[in-house]
Amino acid sequence: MIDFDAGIARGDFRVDAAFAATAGTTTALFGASGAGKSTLLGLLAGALRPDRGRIAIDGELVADAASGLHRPLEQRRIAWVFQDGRLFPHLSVARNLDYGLARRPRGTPVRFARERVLEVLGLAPLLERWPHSLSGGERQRVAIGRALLAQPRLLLLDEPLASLDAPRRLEILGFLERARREFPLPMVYVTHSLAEVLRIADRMVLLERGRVVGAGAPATLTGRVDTPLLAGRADAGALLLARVQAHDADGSATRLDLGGLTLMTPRLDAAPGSEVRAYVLASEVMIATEAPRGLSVRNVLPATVLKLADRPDRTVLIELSCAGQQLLAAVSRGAVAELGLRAGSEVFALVKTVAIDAPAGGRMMLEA
Amino acid sequence: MLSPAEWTALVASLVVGARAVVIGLPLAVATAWLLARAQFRGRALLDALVHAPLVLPPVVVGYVLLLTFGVQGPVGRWLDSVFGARLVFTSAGASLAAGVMAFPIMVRAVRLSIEAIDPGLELAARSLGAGRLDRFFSITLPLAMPGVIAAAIVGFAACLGEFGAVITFAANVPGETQTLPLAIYSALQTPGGEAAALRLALLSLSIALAALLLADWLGRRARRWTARP
Repeated sequence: MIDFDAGIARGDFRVDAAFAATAGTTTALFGASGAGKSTLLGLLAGALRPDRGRIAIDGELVADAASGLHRPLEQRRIAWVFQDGRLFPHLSVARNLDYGLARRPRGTPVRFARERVLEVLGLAPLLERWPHSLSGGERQRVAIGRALLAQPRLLLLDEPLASLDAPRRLEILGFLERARREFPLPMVYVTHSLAEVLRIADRMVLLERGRVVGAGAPATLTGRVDTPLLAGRADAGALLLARVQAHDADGSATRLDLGGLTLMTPRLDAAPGSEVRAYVLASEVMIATEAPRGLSVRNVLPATVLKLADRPDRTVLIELSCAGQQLLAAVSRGAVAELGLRAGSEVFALVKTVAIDAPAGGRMMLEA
Repeated sequence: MLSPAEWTALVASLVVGARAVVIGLPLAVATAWLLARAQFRGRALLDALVHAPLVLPPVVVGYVLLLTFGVQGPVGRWLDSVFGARLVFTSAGASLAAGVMAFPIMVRAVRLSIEAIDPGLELAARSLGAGRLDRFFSITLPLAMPGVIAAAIVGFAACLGEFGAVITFAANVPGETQTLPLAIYSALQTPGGEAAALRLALLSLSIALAALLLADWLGRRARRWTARP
């Protein structure tokens, strides 16, 4: 459990934030470069000293600006996974992995056993290798394993996928998800990639110019026209937590159950009953004022317009409620005027495609 | 091939150089680490002091040592009264003089290799629970090893070649402080000593070349060992 409420001045720029992270959950610190993510991370880890506020880990105060308390990084038991892995080049993979394990404070129980970590991250075949002979993805896996084996109270992931290509990102995200299920500790995941947040975060903290401008579950923060940082994006949309209902008999489509709402998607390789995250891009949703006929779009959902918001790119972002779920649609201003759309309008939302994240098959838009 | 006197000079040189490196290298590594990584007051002063022998005339360094470590000098008197040890005119004194002269060369080689280490690795080690000393021995020193090896060999070669500071502080005592350059000097001062001087000069040259080649070879091996992509 992490309680963070602290700030620091960096030149004429101030970073000030409050957030909490609990065991077993992944909190994403999300923002553009320069929003203050790295500074927050530095404060949390102990590389920087806050000039205001306090930071506690598992109830133990590690930094307190008022009393001047500042536990150094090496005593905080926060394992830090960096963008570039930072494996020690003069040590084999096995000795890299054992570096933190051997240095855990005396009497610290081994909660994350070596065998389990090796298994979950698929590290056993790499043990005898040297860092310079590993691929980028392998290096990150070793770095994550090394961090977990240090038996930390918190795992900091600092843009861990930023230096990898798209296929490797998916692979490492898969390993991170497994690690999150297997090893209950709070994870703080710093990223500027919305796709990664949508896929892995339980909570997100939105940062802009050193301030928290929003915090909450991704499913609550997306699907709204007024969430800072998110609503203005070209890839704005709604994250829906869905359950696989059934596959069509001809095997071409899968039905997703969204609590009273059914979405059809191209066939997914996921068992009925399994949970998936579905991201519906606003640009993939059309609006009709009458039930359309003769269309290839298979998801035609009755919906109510809740809010409209103009965007700088001359589109209007429309927040829709359908069967209790929030959806976003991006429509041109002309179309809004022509259809006479306003809050309260009863319409039909036409959903073309849905980005799905499922353990096997389906992928979130993970290229950006 | 060599006369007994020349052998004596060679052995004295090796002893003086080896002692200077064995004692001076750890100090050079510590100084290099301080200059490369630590933030403290007086850093610029330490840097200047370390490099002073490079720009001072060696005879001045020898004279300063004489003032400090001589029998009448503050440190020299203390050493004499506490340990009954004298440095002036002894092989240990020659090592001190040669070591001080070679010190900047050793510090420089180690410092460059410490500065080449990604500080991010030390940050990673910190996050894994390694304290300062632990980090130094488990990360910094092994990664700086090519520089440390180079420092030892080049420092040793420089000690063998040191003339001015040694002759000023430790004088020219055959079998004690008469290293190769001093023996060459003495041979040149002796009528008919040109042949002996030439032999000793060639010997110096081959030791220096061997040291540089060895440093290069070990450095390449060490770099392969700590290879980074």
